[in-house]
Amino acid sequence: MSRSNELLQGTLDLLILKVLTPGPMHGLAIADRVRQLSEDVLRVNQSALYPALHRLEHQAWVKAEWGESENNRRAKFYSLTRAGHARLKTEEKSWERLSSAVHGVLRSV
Amino acid sequence: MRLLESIQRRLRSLRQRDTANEELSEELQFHLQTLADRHIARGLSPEQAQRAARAEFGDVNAATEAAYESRGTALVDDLMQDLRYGVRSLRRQPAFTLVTVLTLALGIGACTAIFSLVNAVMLRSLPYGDASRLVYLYMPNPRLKELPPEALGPSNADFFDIRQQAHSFSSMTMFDQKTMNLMMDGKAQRIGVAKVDASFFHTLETAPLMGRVFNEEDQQPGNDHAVILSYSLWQSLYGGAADVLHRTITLNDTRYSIAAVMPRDFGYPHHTDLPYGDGRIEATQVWVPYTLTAAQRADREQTSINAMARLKPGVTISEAQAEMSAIVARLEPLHKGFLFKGMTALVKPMNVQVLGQVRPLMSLLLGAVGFVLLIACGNAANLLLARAASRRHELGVRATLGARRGRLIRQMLTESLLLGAAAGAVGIALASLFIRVLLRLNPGDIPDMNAVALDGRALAFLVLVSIATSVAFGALPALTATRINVAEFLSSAGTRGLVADRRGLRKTLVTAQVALVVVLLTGAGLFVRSYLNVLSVDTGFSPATIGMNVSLTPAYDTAEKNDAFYADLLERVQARHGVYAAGLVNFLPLTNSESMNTLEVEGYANRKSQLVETRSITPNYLTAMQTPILRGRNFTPEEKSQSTSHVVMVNEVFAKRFLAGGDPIGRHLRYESNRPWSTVVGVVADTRNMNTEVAAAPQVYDAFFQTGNPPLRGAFLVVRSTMAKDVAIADLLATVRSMDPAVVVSDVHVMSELTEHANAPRRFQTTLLTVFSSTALFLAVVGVYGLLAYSVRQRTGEIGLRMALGSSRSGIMRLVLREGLSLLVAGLCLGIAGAVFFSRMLRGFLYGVPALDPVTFVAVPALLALATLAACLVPSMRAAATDPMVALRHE
Repeated sequence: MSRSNELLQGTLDLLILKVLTPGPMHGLAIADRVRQLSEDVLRVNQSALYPALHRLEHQAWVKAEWGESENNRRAKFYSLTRAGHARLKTEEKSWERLSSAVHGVLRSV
Repeated sequence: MRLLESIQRRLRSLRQRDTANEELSEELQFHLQTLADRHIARGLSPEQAQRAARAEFGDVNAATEAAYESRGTALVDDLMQDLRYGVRSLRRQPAFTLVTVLTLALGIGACTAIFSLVNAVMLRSLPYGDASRLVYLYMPNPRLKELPPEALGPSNADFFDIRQQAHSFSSMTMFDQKTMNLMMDGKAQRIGVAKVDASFFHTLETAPLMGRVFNEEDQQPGNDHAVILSYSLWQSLYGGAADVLHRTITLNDTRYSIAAVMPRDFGYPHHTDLPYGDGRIEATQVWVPYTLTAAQRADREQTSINAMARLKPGVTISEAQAEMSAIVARLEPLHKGFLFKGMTALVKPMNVQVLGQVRPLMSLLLGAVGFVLLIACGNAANLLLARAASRRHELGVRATLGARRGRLIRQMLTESLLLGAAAGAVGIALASLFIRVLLRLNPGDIPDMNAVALDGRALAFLVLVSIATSVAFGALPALTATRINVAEFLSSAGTRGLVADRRGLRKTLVTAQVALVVVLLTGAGLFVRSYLNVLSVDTGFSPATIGMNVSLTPAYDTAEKNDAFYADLLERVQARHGVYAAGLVNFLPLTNSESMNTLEVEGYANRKSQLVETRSITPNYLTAMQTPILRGRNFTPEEKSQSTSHVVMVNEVFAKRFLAGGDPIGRHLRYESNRPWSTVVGVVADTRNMNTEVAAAPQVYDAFFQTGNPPLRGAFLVVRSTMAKDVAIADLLATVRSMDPAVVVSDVHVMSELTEHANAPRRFQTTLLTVFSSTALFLAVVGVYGLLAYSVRQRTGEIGLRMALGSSRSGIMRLVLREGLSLLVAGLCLGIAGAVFFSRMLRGFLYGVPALDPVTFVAVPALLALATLAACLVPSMRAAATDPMVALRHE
């Protein structure tokens, strides 16, 4: 994994919340989905994924349930809570502010 | 609520920890397995697939631990684990634990005791509403150099003018002090009284427990037979009876009706409240109305009233001062007499007046006790460092097994907090013990000292200090001991390494302790030297002379009746068995009372307003006090009426200052220019009057029966007797009572008791500082000893090797001694530099000793060197006695 592909600190939470919007997903699927949506640019460091998921769960932004995976194994599925949706909105806003600011700086010079 | 929920969730997941762990591993298992499946689908073998999946995933262990911690249970969970582990490991080393806890408890206990003192004296608010808004009003005259600014208050007329004109004050009151005689159990007692105006209690914002305070009516002459009792007098006289109001009480042969009883903690003015109050009144027991006739209200002559005011909200001291200065400048021309020429105004906050004098002492004590605590912390840190070094194996193993550094630091800090908590618990007991000792040492000049107690605030302070010290002494060992290089640890087979740098750290700590001790000991040394100087002061009078105050009742209403009683008294006492000499004086030395007179000396360049201390004495006073007459003669019994030509005696300082050049005998002086000259007939040796530490001021002695003024506060009878003190005193009391049982005898003392009382504040300071610095010295010696003993144990192998290679036993001893003494030298150098710095601040506390006293600055290092040497001797002898064979096998 090249350095430029590493996720910016704090953006992992945002990506997880965003990816979970359509419906419940297990950890690996979240990692796959991030990679797929970013056209292979963003790769989730998988060992960092679970601490992040558990943190989000502890903060009650996602909830987890055990279910059956597509390959018929028992897997833990995460889904957004109401608080998680709200959180996603604020995170998205602050991300947009940040990125447009960075964008502005890059274009100005 | 969020916090509560969070705690609940943490506790729940704590209970479900095992299931949670299983679930986590199952979850990760699924992830890895699915990854592996994909690799197999791509054609890898199952083993290769597993490996690839793991590589792709990253560190599974780290992920597990991070996920575990992110659940938020880790903190609580680890804390419980750390506590259990800490208690177990501390119990395994009882000697270490005991020494550390006791050392810290000593520091914490002493700190808390001193804090309670500071709390009672400085921090607790006075029971007078917002006491910081109360101010005293003085009218000092800078031209009267002999009088301190606080000695002069406004005259009656000035007071009323100021009250009318000033806008800075919401309320103003005038009051005066006096003593009255009260018959209690058939004996006349003297009690402290305040004569107060109608706004006194209002200004102090204090309400009585029951009854009513004085009003303007009570201040009318003839209406003034109301009285307000203190709580303690109500209890002792009436047993706290509820129907005490409107009963009567007889004071000075006059009946007063009881109008109110004050609450328990009210005794204003106390003797510490007023700079020049009546020193005999510890706390006021009775308040009576201050009555003034119209003539008295208009009087601008000097009085002894105290004026106090409460600042209006929003008015600052400097604004009040500016307004007062303007008013007094307008009032000044209304006064007659040069005493008032150039008078000014001074607005002084009551807090500053009452606490100003004790503030330096309180800072000193807090500083000293803080040093002791620091030294105790140093010892604890050193013990922990030694312990950490011997635990490096355990810590190394834990680090190798994956414990992170933060986790190890937390573990060690938990242990030091445990030690701190235990020390705090022991400290409570020690603090209450220290407080009891403090109260016994009460020097009497510290306001509210009797209120010192281990109250809630002191306990909160103790808890804070315990926590702060735990972190202070635990942080360094925790940070250094956990800096573990796992590779190095493993390569050294888990037994060696990491010793040298920590010994360096411990040396630094011990050096710092030695330096602190030098500072403390130097301070104590300077205090002890000052105290010894004070003890050896020649007071100018005999310590064995008995003195007692004899106050007459208002029945003796003329100067003749007064003189007749006192003359009769002298005659009778002189005739008693064993009495060698008996005399009278109006103001006995060391009783906080003086009289000052203006003075004009013939043939001297007199200043317009020079003042001099005066005392009236009978001829045998000097004999009874054993104060020698240096030149000339004593008074004679013939000099007893105003008709005979006036004669005076002067003291040595007076003769030197005013009568220099030529024989002082036969020179003339007078108090007022319109009076005849008095002739100086004798020069008397100087005596200490104000205080043992204040050199004698110029002093004139008048003949007691020649002045024509009855003594203001009764006369002091002084007697030198060959009988035992108690017998002589009982006999004297009986003699006075046989003449008139209503006459009050009080302040019965042998002069040495007055000297001791005068020295009490210094004894208090010196005792405390000496105790603190001895404790510090002891702790530091323990510290040095501990370090060396440990170092010898660590170096057993090296010592064995040196001996095997031919080093002599004395060579080994030198080796260890050198290590110890190098600490001493470094500590001494730092400490002396510190002591030079701090001793300058002590200058105000010293008597007859320069701040850089050579004796102290030599004796302290010498003492410390001896103590350190003693501390080094045992470990170095033990090192020298090492058997090389055993030592080599020790590894």
